[in-house]
Amino acid sequence: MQVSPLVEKMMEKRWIRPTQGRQGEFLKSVYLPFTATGNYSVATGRSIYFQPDSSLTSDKVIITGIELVDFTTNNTIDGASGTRTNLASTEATLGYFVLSNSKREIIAQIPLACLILRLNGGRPTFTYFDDFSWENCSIYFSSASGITAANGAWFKVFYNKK
Amino acid sequence: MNNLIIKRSQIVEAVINGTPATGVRYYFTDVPNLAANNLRLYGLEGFSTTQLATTPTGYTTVGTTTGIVVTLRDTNKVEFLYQMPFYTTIRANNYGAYTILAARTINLTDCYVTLTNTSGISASNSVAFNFYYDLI
Repeated sequence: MQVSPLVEKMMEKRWIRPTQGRQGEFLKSVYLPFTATGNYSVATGRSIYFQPDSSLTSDKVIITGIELVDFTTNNTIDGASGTRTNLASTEATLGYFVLSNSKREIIAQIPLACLILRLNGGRPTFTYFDDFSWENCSIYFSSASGITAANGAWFKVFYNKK
Repeated sequence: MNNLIIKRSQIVEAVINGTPATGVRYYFTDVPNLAANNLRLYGLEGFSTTQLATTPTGYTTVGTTTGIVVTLRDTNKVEFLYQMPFYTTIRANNYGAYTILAARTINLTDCYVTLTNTSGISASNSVAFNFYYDLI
């Protein structure tokens, strides 16, 4: 099949890719279990940072997709900190995912609701993040209304090894 | 069919200053990040309250998706995207497909939204987008 020069150029620049493709070679689930106090406590405008992750470092991997698992998709998460209720899509409209690099430069800021697969026709959010520092990445809420220590955020992070 | 890959993004907004009116140009608020000459905008996504309640600057996003059109101008003041319905730019309205553009360097403060119908829009509402770009 012949591809237009514009599409070919955009694919070469990694600006677009076929929708039917898988998001990445590997998938990691990352949980942010909210707490009443401390680093994971939720407050309006407060950044909640991800823990450093040895498999998510930009010298080794490229993040090729991100998804937020909401309450409808899977109601709870069960991690080392106990069980948490996933964010509802309405709560997700209050928050952002922020991807930063080692210089704390913000590379991308994406509303959480836009990362929910089922709200976007099942089409995944493709990314090409090859310069990031996972421990500098965070989420924050422009309003923490209704979000409590009983909640948590579950992200599916797709990546390819470099 | 292809879909967009996010390499870098920046949330931008045009705030409805004063009583909403048709035919008025509501220009985008300046974002220095987007002023680089080596920046190429290749896609965008609109947000209503269903996607985003409040913008990072604290404005409430518009609750309606119709009656709003967006115009983008490049650094040569060419209106390369003229009066595109805001509704169309919302990914959730297009089965997850982003709005993909032939890459351009834009002049953000020359870009604007206009209202074709003011119903459901209030003063100080924000018409917000994520602009997807790359540095070349």
